[in-house]
Amino acid sequence: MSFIDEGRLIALFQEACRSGSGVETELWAEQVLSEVTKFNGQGIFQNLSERRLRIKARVVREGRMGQAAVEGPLAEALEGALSRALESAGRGQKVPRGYRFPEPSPLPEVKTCFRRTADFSPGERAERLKKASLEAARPGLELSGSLQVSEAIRTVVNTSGLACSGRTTEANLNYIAEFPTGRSHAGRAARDIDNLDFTGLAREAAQRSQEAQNPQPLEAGDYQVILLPQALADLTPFLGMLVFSAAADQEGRSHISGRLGEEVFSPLVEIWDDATDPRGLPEAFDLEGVAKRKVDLVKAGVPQGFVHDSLTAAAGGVETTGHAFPATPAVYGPIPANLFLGPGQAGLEEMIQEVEHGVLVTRLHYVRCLEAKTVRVGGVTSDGTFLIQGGRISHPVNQMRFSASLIDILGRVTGLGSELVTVRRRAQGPGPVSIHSSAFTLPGVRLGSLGLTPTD
Amino acid sequence: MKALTELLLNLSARAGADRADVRVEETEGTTIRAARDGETEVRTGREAGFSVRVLIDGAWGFAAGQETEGKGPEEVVARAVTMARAAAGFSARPMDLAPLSPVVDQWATPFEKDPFEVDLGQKIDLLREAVAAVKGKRILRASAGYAESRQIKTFANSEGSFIRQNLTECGGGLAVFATDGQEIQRRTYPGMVFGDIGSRGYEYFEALDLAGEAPRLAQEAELLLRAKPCPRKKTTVVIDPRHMALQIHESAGHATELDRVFGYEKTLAGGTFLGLDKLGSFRYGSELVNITADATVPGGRGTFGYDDEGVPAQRVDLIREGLFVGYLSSRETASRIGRPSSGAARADAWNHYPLIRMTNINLEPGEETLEELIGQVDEGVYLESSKMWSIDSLRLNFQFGTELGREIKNGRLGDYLKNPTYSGVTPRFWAGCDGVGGRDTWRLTGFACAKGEPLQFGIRIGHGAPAARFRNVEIGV
Repeated sequence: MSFIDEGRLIALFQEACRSGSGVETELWAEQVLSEVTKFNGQGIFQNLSERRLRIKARVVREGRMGQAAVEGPLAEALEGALSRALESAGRGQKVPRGYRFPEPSPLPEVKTCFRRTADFSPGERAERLKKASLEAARPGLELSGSLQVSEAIRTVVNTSGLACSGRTTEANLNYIAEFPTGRSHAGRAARDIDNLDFTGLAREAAQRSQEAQNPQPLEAGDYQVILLPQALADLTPFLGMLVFSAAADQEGRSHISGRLGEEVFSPLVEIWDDATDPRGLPEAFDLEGVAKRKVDLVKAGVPQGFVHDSLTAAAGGVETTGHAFPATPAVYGPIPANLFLGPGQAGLEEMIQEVEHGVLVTRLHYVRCLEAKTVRVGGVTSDGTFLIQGGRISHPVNQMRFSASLIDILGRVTGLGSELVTVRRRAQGPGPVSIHSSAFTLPGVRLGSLGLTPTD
Repeated sequence: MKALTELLLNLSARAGADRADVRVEETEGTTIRAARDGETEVRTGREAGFSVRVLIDGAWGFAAGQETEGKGPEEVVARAVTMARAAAGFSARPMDLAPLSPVVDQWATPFEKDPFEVDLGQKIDLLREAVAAVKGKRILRASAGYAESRQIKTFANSEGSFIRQNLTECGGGLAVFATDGQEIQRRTYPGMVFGDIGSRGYEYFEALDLAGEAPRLAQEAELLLRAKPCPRKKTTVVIDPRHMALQIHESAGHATELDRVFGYEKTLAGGTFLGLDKLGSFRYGSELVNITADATVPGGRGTFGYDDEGVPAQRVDLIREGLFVGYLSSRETASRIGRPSSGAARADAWNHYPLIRMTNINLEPGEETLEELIGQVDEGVYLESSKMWSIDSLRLNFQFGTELGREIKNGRLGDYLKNPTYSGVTPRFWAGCDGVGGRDTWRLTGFACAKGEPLQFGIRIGHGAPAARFRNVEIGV
């Protein structure tokens, strides 16, 4: 059974919009075939496949918005979403005066779908994972992992004349390599599965886990710290939710509200969102069908602005930047979903050489936010934490806990790695349950100092 | 429905499945949020679909789809079979299920007022009353929320089980945020910022009395802006039942999930320090600590009739008088340790694989009142309402933050403390438990929880907890 034809879906949605008797209407559909293979040392233990259609309708009637989402067969989902949205509109969210759904805009030329990813069969997945496991094998090592492969079609049509549809593929590969006293991780995300090095990543995880064996205690203190890209990616989702969202600014809860143009972060820090950059996980348009484009967020440590969806843009009297975000509920408003941190010139070895006495962190675990305005976050290091002495890795150390303001952390950046790594991260904000999944393309960073305390 | 489940089971058998089970589900729900400026946001949704799990050559395959007509069922079974056959090619250990007698039954959540029969306007009015009652110069925003949901599930398997369930839940909450421009402090009621949801009807939401709690929350949120920071020291803490729920969730609930022992969650959720060698002999906490998994407790968000493998809801001991005695398990994982399933195989939606998930994980009540728990503390801190939580992948080393702290001096509550945090090592922390509140302090709190790949974060679980006291706890870290 294949996907519903995009042309047919657009025509159906346009007809539904036309029959809405002048009510402003937006229809969004997501068709997904997603498959996950999970394995450990004893082979595959979960091999899962799901196909689903979700239709979301938003309508504006008498200045209020109603919205509904329905999953199910097409006719049922479309009728259900529209009727429910209309029913709830009278008591729904008030929209800014004159608000209309976005008008069509030329979409960027970005390749978001790779047949090779879509056609990567369950048999091929099992074979490649098995081969990688065998090639990375070492005595005493157990390798676990997951590979998620998906193909999705997203379609948006509204009464402002916008009609667009696009197909994306994505492959997400993650390994955990474990010895009895050492564990590490390696993982990447890509639109094109051929960009994932199955064996190379397995070996990377295996090598680092071997080096992470027999960790020693480390005293509490302020250390120079190198966060590898995966560790940085465990922090950056909070930037999107709490700092760069226009909703955060408009509600007065962003740390950079009223501080645009001031130096807030280290002058080395350059942050932007760009779903058109093939190094990330490209998208042509956002949840509202608005064309994606590059938005500068921080230049030389100085915040430049916020990302918008059509509602925050209308409230702020500006143009949407194409960052409507499909969170449920969308309590954090628009979010940069393809965030980049600019790289530097140094390789990892060079970054380590610059550290006299410090700590290298592979990943962070279970990072949560304690205070939203200063973005104070806490968590624990994981999957390989190492002491650096005299510019060289000295030995592995026990996991360490940290609690610090993310604003301060990015203010203490003293070096940036040259290699960019793309990963997908989900994170939970400090408000109501809302799991955000965004792409991050990041280098490793060196921090002048970060307070670390032992966990035991 | 019977025709669809039989068709799916027959197709699975014809395709060579040694075992198969199917779930057909339909979930309907509405959430409402009201803000202080009179704004409301109403979202409604419905999702429906079915899934098939087949065991072929000792390997599981799982597929889900939505088309119940035409070739839809055939296509989903074919995908499940393909997944199983592919898995069998990279599998060193055949999977199986713990034995279970077939069940034919139906079950429904008991409630007094059907939330789906209550007028939308009535719900919105209660939320608006609540946010209107939030007053204060430094209030940044306030948000009141309501949620209702109904899940109709049919389960059938190749062993002859056929079970229909109609699960209703309802609840809400209020969150108040205050700021002085430098920081944001929040107070929420009840429980965490998500509010509280129970397997009950509209009467549960009404009884929360959000408007009645609003002035207190506003006052406390503003007070916290001026409060002293939490000092760093080792001391005695008394924890309120709502935050105890989270402490139980993270350090006991997740730690006793048997799939973590077998490494099924390593790539995301992690493992557990409670390995098989510790079962029945490991001292998890003091003798006052009794923790159960109870899917039968009335009103709990994790209350149901049968889990998603058709295992009857049950109450099992996880920690008995401080000893680790049981796991949360599924039929598949239980078969590996030669025990019956504890009935904890659950999926959050029609399209997801049943994982081991908590039911209602409860700290059983002791005998003390809150006043007695506090009264026996010369110097310590009272902690209330969860704000931040972090724990390592083995569920051993943790750090929590709460919205509010109060100094305890000579058995009495004193000054407020802002951003209080505490950390610990799970068995050491629970070993320090020397006071457990009685039934009067015991509260059931509804939770959502994220686990699995693809991520399942809509699972309905609950925690019953009294207030409790712990000695020698590191705070202010």
